[in-house]
Amino acid sequence: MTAAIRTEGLSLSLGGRAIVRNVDMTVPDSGVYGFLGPNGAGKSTIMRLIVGLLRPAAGTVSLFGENLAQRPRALLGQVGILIESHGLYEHLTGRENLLLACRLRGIDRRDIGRVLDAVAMHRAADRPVKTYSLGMKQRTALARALLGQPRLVVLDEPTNGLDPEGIMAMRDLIRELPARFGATVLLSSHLLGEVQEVADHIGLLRQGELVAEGPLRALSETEPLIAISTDRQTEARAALLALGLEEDRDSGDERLVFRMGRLTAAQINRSLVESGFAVSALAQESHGLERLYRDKLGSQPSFEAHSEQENRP
Amino acid sequence: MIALIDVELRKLRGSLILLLVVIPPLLPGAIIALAIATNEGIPSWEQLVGRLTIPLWAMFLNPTLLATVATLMGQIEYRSGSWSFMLVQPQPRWQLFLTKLGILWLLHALMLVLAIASAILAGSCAGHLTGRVPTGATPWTEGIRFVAHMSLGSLAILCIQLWVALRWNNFVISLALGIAGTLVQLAVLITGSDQAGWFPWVMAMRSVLSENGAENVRAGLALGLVLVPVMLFDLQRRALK
Repeated sequence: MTAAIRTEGLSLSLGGRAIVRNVDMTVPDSGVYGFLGPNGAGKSTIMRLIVGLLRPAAGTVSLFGENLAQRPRALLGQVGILIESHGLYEHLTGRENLLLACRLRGIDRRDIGRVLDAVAMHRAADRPVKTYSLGMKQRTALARALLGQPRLVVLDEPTNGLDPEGIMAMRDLIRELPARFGATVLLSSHLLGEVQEVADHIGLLRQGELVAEGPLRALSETEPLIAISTDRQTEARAALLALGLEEDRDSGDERLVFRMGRLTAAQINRSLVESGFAVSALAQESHGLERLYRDKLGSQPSFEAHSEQENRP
Repeated sequence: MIALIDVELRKLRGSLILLLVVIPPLLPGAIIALAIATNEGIPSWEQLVGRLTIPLWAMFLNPTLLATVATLMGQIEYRSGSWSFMLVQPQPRWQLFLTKLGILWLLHALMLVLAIASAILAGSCAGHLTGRVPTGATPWTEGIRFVAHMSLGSLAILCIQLWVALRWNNFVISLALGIAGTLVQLAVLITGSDQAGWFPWVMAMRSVLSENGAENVRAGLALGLVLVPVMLFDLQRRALK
């Protein structure tokens, strides 16, 4: 199957500093691809490279199997984008903003009704955008990205700044895009939960480098964990180690967290109780994506590391 | 290109730019009406247009309004963060910037027409109402010459102002440039210096205020025509956002 996006050796430096390093990325031509990484990892920069807003220092970008550099206008005509901010003209109405996009892309203006329906913005479409809430602006910008049935929709942190209700509505909408509009979605986010909920494929980015990529399920499948609280944690730890279980020290949890190995939760519980421990809580958990994120993007997240990432240009 | 022109014109709807294009050019007319109403004597059209309207426009209103309108045109994209939307459209980027320049030129011409028309209409109306109708022939010909000279002679500053307004997100840079250009132009006028004839703001001013106006029109137009491709080349390479 042709990939919606394929980058080969994509690199970019600004001021002598490598911002994007040799990124080979493949976004399948269906579903939602979640582009995950901390702030400052280079997600927006790569998205800007993919839609031709920046020129790479090295490497190529192909959309739908064709080199973007050779047919930029024709290929970008099949891409809807929402990058960095909603980018709507605030003194115009929502409908007028969509009309501008129709005129520029040669799209029939009747398509406006369809996309406004999709994002539930029909009733407010004739009000100036400056009267909209942030969520309404994001939905209108998404509607604009959906005009003309694009094959690919590029969304850069579309839930940024939204309230919880807005986030949920936006997520539902993004999840529906492939089936309802036939569009592949490239979604960037620094929120694990967000990507986990909507994406089929993920790419993990660290300091401009793609460190993992593949189907979400395959990447996040890990050995299940068990989290335990007892009346005597230190002795319980020793007992569990004696059972041959391996402790998960990366969890940052006050509970005892162990990889379950071949044992079941019931067997571990029985063993602890028979050894005289009062087990107050026992839960089987899976932290697949979170674990992968930690493994690939560094050990224990810290504010210092976070700040260092954010300070990158 | 037609789609771009249509889109750029639609963006002006409800924007501050339209207010700026329509209201300040009425200032010469307002001053003329006030002058006729409050003075005893009967003025001539030469005084009202040749010595008031045209100098007021050339020395002060032209450079400051151009700087402000160009700045607002840049800010339409920057404030809404819409460069990323505009720059991925199917039209080549140079066409987008050329369209913006064309629209600015058109708005400038519209301001000139409004300024001269408001001056003549205000002079006629106030004259008839007070019984002090300005003497001499109504200066329609001078008005047309003023619009043509000022419009063509200002192409260089128009291009520079728009270039700066689109190039940098910070509106202070564009406004500061306009103020600096105006001050230099006024300094040249006050000192009567022969120097700085190459300075674009001076070219625009002299295109209507000096005896060799046509020469300055040609110089302003020629410099503008040189600057346009350079501006387009530079802007289309920039990662505007």
